[in-house]
Amino acid sequence: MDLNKLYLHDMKLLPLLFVFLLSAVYVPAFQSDIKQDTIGVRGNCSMCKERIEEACYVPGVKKATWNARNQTLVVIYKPSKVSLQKIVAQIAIAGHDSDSLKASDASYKKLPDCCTYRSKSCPK
Amino acid sequence: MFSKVALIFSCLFLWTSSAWAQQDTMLRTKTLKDVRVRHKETTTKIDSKSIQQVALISGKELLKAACCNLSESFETTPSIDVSFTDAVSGYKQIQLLGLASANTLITRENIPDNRGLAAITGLSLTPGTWISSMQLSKGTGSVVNGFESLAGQLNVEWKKPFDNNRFYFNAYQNSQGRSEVNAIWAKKVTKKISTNLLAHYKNQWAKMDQNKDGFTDQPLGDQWVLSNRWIIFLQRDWEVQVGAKFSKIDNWGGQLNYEKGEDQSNRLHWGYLSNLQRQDYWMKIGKVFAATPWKSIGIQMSYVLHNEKNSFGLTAYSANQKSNYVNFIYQTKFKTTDQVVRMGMSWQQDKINETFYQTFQRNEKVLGVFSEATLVFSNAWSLVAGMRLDHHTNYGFFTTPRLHVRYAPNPSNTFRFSLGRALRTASLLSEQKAYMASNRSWILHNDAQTSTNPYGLSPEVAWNTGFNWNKKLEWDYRPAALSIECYKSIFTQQVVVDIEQYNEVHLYNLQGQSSATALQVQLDYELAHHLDLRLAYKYYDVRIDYQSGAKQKPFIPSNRMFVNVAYQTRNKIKLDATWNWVGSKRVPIAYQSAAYLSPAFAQVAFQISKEYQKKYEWYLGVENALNYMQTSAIILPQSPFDPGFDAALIWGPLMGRSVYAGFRLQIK
Repeated sequence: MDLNKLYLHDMKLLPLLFVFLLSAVYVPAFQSDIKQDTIGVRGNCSMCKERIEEACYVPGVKKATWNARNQTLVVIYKPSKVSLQKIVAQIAIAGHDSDSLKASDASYKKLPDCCTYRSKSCPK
Repeated sequence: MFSKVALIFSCLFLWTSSAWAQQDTMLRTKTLKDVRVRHKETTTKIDSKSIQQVALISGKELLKAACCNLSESFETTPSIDVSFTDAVSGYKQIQLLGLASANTLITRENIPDNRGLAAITGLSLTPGTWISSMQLSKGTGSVVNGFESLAGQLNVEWKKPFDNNRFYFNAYQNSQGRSEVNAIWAKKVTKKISTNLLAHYKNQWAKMDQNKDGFTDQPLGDQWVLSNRWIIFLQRDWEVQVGAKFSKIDNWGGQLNYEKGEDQSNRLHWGYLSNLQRQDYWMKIGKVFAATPWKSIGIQMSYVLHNEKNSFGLTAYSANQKSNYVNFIYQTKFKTTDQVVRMGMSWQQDKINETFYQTFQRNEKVLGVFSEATLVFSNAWSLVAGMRLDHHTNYGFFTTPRLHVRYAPNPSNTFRFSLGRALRTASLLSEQKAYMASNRSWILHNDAQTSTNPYGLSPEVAWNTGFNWNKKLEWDYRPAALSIECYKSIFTQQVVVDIEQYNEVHLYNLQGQSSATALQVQLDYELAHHLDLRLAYKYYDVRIDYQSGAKQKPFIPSNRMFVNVAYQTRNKIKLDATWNWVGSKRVPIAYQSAAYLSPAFAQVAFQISKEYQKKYEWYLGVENALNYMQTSAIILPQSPFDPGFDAALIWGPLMGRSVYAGFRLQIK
């Protein structure tokens, strides 16, 4: 039974994996074409948060975080791939009003009762 | 004897009363109705706040696997290895830290489950669809749950009767002739009384021999599991839960031309027969004091009846178990709510009779007291220190110290250390049942000192220590998590199962050293929105001093790699792919076969699922897509009554590619 041979042979994979993992930790992301914007977006609850953030994720959008208390959305995106207008339009299609664009009544009416932010706030 | 125990209990009480502490949620979540925060993005996560390393495995993670029962629920969880026990019974066993499933304490909502005879079979008696979530902790667990957990604790939370789902239905069919139906009905009888009825039925109806060894890959037959439980909220914050579970397995297999019930004394066809019945009853009573929410009391009780009859060719094994368990837990604080203490008393009795060539009887009674302090010093430092003192009918008094320390210098880095001792009676025959599917001679080497113990052998006593580091990262604005874990178990006493000699199984007390080292590196990263990647590498070194010298434990791979990719499209179609690479394993000597290293192999699985209106969901998948099988898994398949016959030298998959489809319905 030549167990030592097995170890030496298979262990070659181990340092490789470590190098891969550690390089992943320390290699800085190369990001020059990145923009961050904060815009006002209306909504009520955690369901709204999911819907608003989900709507933002079109190609080119890196991260979208909506804050219910401040009614603001922080969006990080690549201006070369997507414009803020496009993101705002997606939010309006999902039924949410933002500073620069109001959602159509048709889109708004599709929201569940809890999320009808124009008439009421969500019960805490 | 009892006065001695009482004296020691009072001493321990005094010791702990100098370190009173509290935490209100702990007992509540442990013993009573569970309230958990749902995380939509991650289906498995490490709780960075908890002092122990606990991986929360959500119900959504379980949906990713073909998942029929608990032993099959870990296909997307790299921490746990799953492998076939033998080429006949169809049972799978799990391994954690390179140690067999019996070393992991499996609890059903914190009541020990699957102990004794059910160490392997019990896994298939928890249907995956009944599970709402699981918590997997590695290393010796909390002393509150007993002295046995060495490799870790797996707590399984069932779907609750009060969680707003009135009806749940699931049907599953695979291309290998396996059908399953699961249903759960829940009813809120009044505002404070709720109940659910859970049912599971499985049938393997097609004789399959994909690895062409002349033996049925998966035994034919059916399995029923039924359960009913009630949760009652009483006045003054008392809560009561009562439940019962009934399980029945009726399986048969063996050579392809063997028919159920056929007489084997003429040695014409080799057959496998298995009949199992198990009843579980449990009750929990708890109270959280409303005015002082850090104070709570709880009592857990369970009663188990287990009966099984098996025959492997001409070898017969039958066993029955009666167990009862009581655990009383009291929790309070010391000065502030950052200092919590839990203490209590437990009783556990296992009466097990087994017949395998001769009769083995044991009646183990263990009375114990325990105390555990949870101390939070700052946001960075916290620890849990626990101690148990138990008295066992055969082993006398023994202590179980355990320590968990958490250090989180900043929110993105968490370091954890654990150290603890565990003791357990190996339920030798049921845990090693796989070797009954061979014509090996069983040789039990009793020692004079341990002759009055179960099987005349020593208990398994081990220390486990672990260190792990969890790092949260953000790359390109998306979250990543890196975890590095290292655990070592050192056995001071162990029952060695030695199959190093051709045609024999030797069972003896460890003379020398035995240890298991496990290293795991895991990286989780969101490659793009809704595209999740999980990479893992594991290294095991499990060594035992056999009579023939120090060797690696057979069938444990030194290396394992794991990749899982999960993607969800905009219209909520979920895609999941898993690549699981298993390195070489050591296979001992057999008839006309020298010991060898098995080839490394990979298994690939895919699944696609789609949900409609949060009500219906269908899923479609492929398991073992590369169709990799261990061919010639059975030694001497053509003459199974010859001494050299062996169906337990299993290192790889026994079943080929399987395509499956299923349907889930959920009514609120």
